[in-house]
Amino acid sequence: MLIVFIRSIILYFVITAAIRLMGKRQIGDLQPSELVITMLLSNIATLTVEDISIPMIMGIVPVFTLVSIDVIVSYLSLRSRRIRRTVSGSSKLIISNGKIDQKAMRELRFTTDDLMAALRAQQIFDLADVQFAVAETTGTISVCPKKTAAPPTAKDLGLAPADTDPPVMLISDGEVSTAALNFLGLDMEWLNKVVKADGASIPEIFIMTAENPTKYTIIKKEPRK
Amino acid sequence: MKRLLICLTLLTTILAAGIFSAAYVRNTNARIQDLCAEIREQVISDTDPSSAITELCTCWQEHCKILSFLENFNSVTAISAEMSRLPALASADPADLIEQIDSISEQCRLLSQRHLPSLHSLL
Repeated sequence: MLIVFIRSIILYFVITAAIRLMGKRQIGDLQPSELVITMLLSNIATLTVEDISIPMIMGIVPVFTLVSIDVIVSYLSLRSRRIRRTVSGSSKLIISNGKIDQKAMRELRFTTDDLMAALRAQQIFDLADVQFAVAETTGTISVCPKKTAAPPTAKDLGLAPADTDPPVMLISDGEVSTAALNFLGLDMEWLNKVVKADGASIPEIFIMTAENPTKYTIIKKEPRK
Repeated sequence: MKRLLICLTLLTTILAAGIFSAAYVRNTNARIQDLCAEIREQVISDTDPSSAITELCTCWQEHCKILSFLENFNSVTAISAEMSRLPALASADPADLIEQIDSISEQCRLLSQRHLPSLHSLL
C-alpha cells in the first residue's frame, strides 16, 4: 500500500512534467494537471475493474492519492504564482500589435496552420485583423481583433440599452422549476394563469422561458404521431 | 478549504495505513523467515519439525487473510499452494522439505520486499 501511494505521487509529478514538456498544443482544453489526473484515473480504474487478481484497495489508494495531490497542488497554485506557473505554465503572446511573434510560435511548436485554424475558429479569416493573440495555458488561442475589424458595440454606436438578465427556463418538458420561479419572484398562480391564457396546461408545455412577468416564451409539445 | 482538509486527511490516512501495512508485512515476513530457518535446522539436525511446520502454516494462514487485501491474488495463492505441501513432505523426504522451505522462504521474502519502500520497489 505504501509503495502504491509513493509510486502514485511520483507518477503524478513525472507525468505532469512530461505534459508540460510537450507544450500547450498537446493538452486541448484542460490544464496540464487536469489532463494527468484524467489519464491516470481512467487507466487505474480500467486495470482495477478488469484484473480481478488486483485487490480493490490497490485501485482505491492511487485514485484518492492522485485526487488529493491534485487538490493540494491546486490550492498551492492558488496561493503562489510561482507554483501556478510551474504547474500550469503561463499564457504567451503570439501576436502583438498585429505582428506575429515567430520566436514564441517556435517555442510553442505552433505551425502557421495551427494559428490560422485557431483564428478561423474565432471567425477571423484575415491575419491583418488581429491586434493581439494569446496562447492560453490550456492550449487554446484567445484573439483580440483590431477595432476596425471588430463588430460595433452598443457603446461604439452611442446606445445605452438597459442591462437585462437572460431568460430563465420555467418549464422543461412539462416540469416546473420552482427555483427558476423563485429567482424571478413569480409563483405558481402566475404560471397557471399565463399557461391557461395560452390555451394549454403545464404538462403540455415543452419549453417555457421568462425574463420577467410580461416577457416570456411558450413552446407547446408537438402531438405524438 | 473543506475539500483541502478532506484531501489532507485522506492523504494522512493513506500514508499511515501504508506505513502500518509495510511494518506488518515486514514483521510477519521476519517471523516466517525465522520459522523457515528453524525448520531447516531441525531437518538438518534430524529433529521432528512438525510443530514448527504447523506454526508456519498457521502463521501463513493468518498472514494470507490480510495479504489478500494488499497483494495480487495470484502471488498469495502460489505461496499457499507451496505451504500446503509442507506437512506431507515433513514425513516423507527431508531433502525435498529443505528445498521446499527454501523456496517458500525466498517467495515470502520477495513478496514482502514489494511492500517495503526501497529504490527497487519504487522504481
